[in-house]
Parts: sequence; C-alpha cells; structure tokens
Amino acid sequence: MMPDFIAKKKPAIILAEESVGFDELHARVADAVAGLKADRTRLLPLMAEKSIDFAVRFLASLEAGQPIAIFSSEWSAEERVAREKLITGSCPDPKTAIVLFTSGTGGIPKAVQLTAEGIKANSQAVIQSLRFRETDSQHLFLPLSYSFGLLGQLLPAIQIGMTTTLYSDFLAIKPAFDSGSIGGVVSGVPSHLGTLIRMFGSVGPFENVTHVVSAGARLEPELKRKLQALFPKAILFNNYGQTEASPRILSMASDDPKFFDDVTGYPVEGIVAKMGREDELIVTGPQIMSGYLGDSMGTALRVRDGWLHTGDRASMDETGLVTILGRMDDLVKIGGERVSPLELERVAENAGWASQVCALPVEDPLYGTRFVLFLGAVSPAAPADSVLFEVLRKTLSAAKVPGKIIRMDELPRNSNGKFDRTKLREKLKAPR
Amino acid sequence: MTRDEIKTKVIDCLATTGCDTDYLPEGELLPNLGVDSLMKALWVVELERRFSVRMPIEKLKALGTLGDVIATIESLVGLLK
Repeated sequence: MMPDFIAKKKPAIILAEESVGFDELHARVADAVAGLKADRTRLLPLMAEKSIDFAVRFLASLEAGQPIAIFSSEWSAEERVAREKLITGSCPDPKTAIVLFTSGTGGIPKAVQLTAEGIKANSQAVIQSLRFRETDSQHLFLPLSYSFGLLGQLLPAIQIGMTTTLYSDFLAIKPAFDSGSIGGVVSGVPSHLGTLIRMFGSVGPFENVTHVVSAGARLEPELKRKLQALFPKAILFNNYGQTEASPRILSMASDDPKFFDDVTGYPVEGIVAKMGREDELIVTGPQIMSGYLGDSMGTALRVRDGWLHTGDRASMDETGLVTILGRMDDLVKIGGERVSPLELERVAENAGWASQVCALPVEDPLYGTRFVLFLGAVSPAAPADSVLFEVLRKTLSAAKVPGKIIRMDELPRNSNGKFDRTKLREKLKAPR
Repeated sequence: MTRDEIKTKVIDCLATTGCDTDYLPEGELLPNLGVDSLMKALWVVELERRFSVRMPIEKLKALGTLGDVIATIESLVGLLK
C-alpha cells in the first residue's frame, strides 16, 4: 500500500535504460505479492541486481512475508557455493525476512537473519538520522547485496518517497559528475569518497549535492574536510553499522561541532549502546538479528541476552558519542568489507606455494587497508607472481586479494614461534 | 601516435592507480587482472587527462578488457585528428 504522502507519478527508481514511478512500482509489487505463495519454512534466493525487476521482487517478498536470501553476482564460484551450503538444509527462524551474508570470522561466511521488524526500525532510523525528509533524490552505486546499499539507502528512500538513481557500478556515476547534474544524496564507503576527491577535486565543487553519506569503514578527519570542500553545501554523515544490526548503529552529521574530530557517531533511533568488557561496544534494539542461520553457537557468541557484541573496541563520552577504536580480533575492513587474513592465508597454504604464509594488513592510499602476502620457504614448483595473483583473483573477492606478494627465504618468527609481524612490516619499509 | 605508444601510455596510466601492471594480457577481463571499480575510475580520469579526451558513457560501459581500453583511446585520439 503506497502511503498518501508519496507523489504517485514521481520516479521511484531510475536506471540508465528504464525508470519506474511510485504508482507503477507499487502496482507491480502488488501483482507480485498476489502471485507469491509465501512459504516461511524455506528461503528464496534472490540475485541482487541493479534492476527494477529486482526491486519489485525484493519489496514483494518483504510484503508477502516470504524470507529471501540475497546473493551477489560479484562473488566467485567458490564464494557462492559456500553461501548456498549455509542456507541449504537449514530452516530459517520464523521471524526471518531477509538473509544477508557476511564474510564472518576466520573467512567462514555467516548467513545473517534479519527480521521485518528490525528492517523497518532500521529504515525509520536511517530516514531520521540521515534527514531523508530534507531531500528528494539520491544517487546509488553501492552493490545491493551489501546491507549499506540495500537496507541502509535504497529501502528507506523508497519508503519515504525519494527518487533513487541506480548506477551499475562506481564508474557509471562519473558522467553525472562530469555534467554537473549530480544532486541530492551521494553515498559510499570512504574508499569511494576518497576516489571521488581524486577524480573530481579539480572539477568541483558540487553545490547541488545536499547529503554525503559515509559508512562501512572509518572516515578520517582529513577526508571529512576534503569532502566538505568538494561538497560545500552538503551535510556530511558519518555512520557505523553491522549487517547483524540491519545495519545502522551509529550516525553523526557535520553540523555537530565534534564531527570533524576523530569520532564516529551517536546511537541511531531504536539502538541502545553501552560499553562491555574490555571496552567492547555492545548494542541492543529491534534492529538486532534473530541469529546466524544454522549456527546457534555463532549466534550465542555474538548475541547474549539481546545484546549484540560488535567485536569492536570503542569509547563513549558523557553525551553518548561513540568512537570506534578498532577490532578486537584480526578482522580488517577493506573497501567496506570486513575480511580476515586467514581466508587469504588458507588459499595460499592449500595451493602449496610455500610452507610459510602470512597475510599482513597494511595502509593503502586507495582502500585504506590492503593485504600484503608474505611467502616463506617457497616451493620450487610455485609459479610466477602473475599466476599466483590470477589464482587468488579467481578464488577470492577483490577485497581479499593482496596488493603485493613478497617472497622470502624464511619468514621471521618471534620468541613464541609465531611470525614476527613487526619485522615483516619493517621489510616493507626497507628498500627492495 | 602508434598503437604500441598508446598501449604503453595506457598501462602507465593504470600504474598510477596502484595496480600491479606486470601481467596484463589484452584479452583478459579487467576484474581478473585485479582492476576493480575504484582503480578503473581513477584510470579513466588519468587517461582522459593524459590523452586530452573525454570518454562518453557508452565507451565507459564497454571497457571490459585492456584491449577495449586501447581500442577506445585509439578511436578517441583518431577522432580528434
């Protein structure tokens, strides 16, 4: 049912070759709901595509109560199979509306079950914290298999009656910037936003952009200032979330006097945050997942008495402003994706290239962080680096592929026998 | 400008994005060579700057391989003559 406040003829979704108005979108969703026999005991796989057909199926499934699992065409065959296994043979929780996949700890993906109530609460929180009522359009290039793109930006926009222009990928937004026709909301992970500055720093400023939304990784104070220069009329929004929280947890706007400090944000509507043991940020609210599908042990580790243990260390001041300080485990964020070095190390170990393998996250000007893969005691049969890269790119998603491979006779070890990461970092600084 | 000169300059432009340019068969899809969307975007901007061309949207969509990029630059540089 389309709310009365939405202009019926207004475009809901615009793509390069097609568009749909809100009236037609709602009619198509109603038709799809009528033809859908919801079965809450099984998950319907849905490939996230930048198409009106995907939007119709997604909205219809939500409305009809048919649980869906969102797949990405960007995954490698191995990654897709691993995710298919997770949802095969497991009956979803009765309250599950959507399953989104995360990389999980140790490189083992997790199927995150989100409820209709949580998704609705997240939309309300996004509309309020990102001030969607103060604008009427957004430009979205984020993948729709990603909680930030699908639940953090697209769904709230449709629900509030904003027009969303969808781009097939990041580069497809370039002509809109070139022509100066870009306006409304622009969203991306810090790597996207940093790239926009490198692409258009000399072409801007873009005065019609009203909102710039960052999430998925830490937004550095220097990048905040550069973004404000490129988008001088825009309010910047720094956000933090996790798929397990549908996903938005913290948000903060640039008209807050503390925004340009190295801080993260305030809990969004519906979320209560507090500090747990060892300064771990823990949060609760209707947005929290019902659990990982088929992984009750994993669920019990992350959600205890209704509180989601984020795995992130943080500090909170007397006003409730939270600053994320880093992960409590080895996971790192690369291009908005939370990834473990273990997955890369396992692929390298299983390939038999070397008996000593260590993946080290290092600073990278484009991605913020990227892996360097160290190989020690390399097998004489190991192929050239170009072939290693080829294998890794076919096996792993882009964020997990190292930027560099370094071969050594022996990897240095510390007194515990573990690889000495400090010495490996020094190796990176030394002239080669 | 010869095709080899264009190719060298195109690869030089890609190197500015941080991509490893040691192994770049012309027919391989760019994602398989580690050229992701961020690198591709920076690459296109650098190509436009160094070749003094502007790539229209239909050209951007067609950039599947290194060979496509070289052919696109060839056609754009040719059009300017």
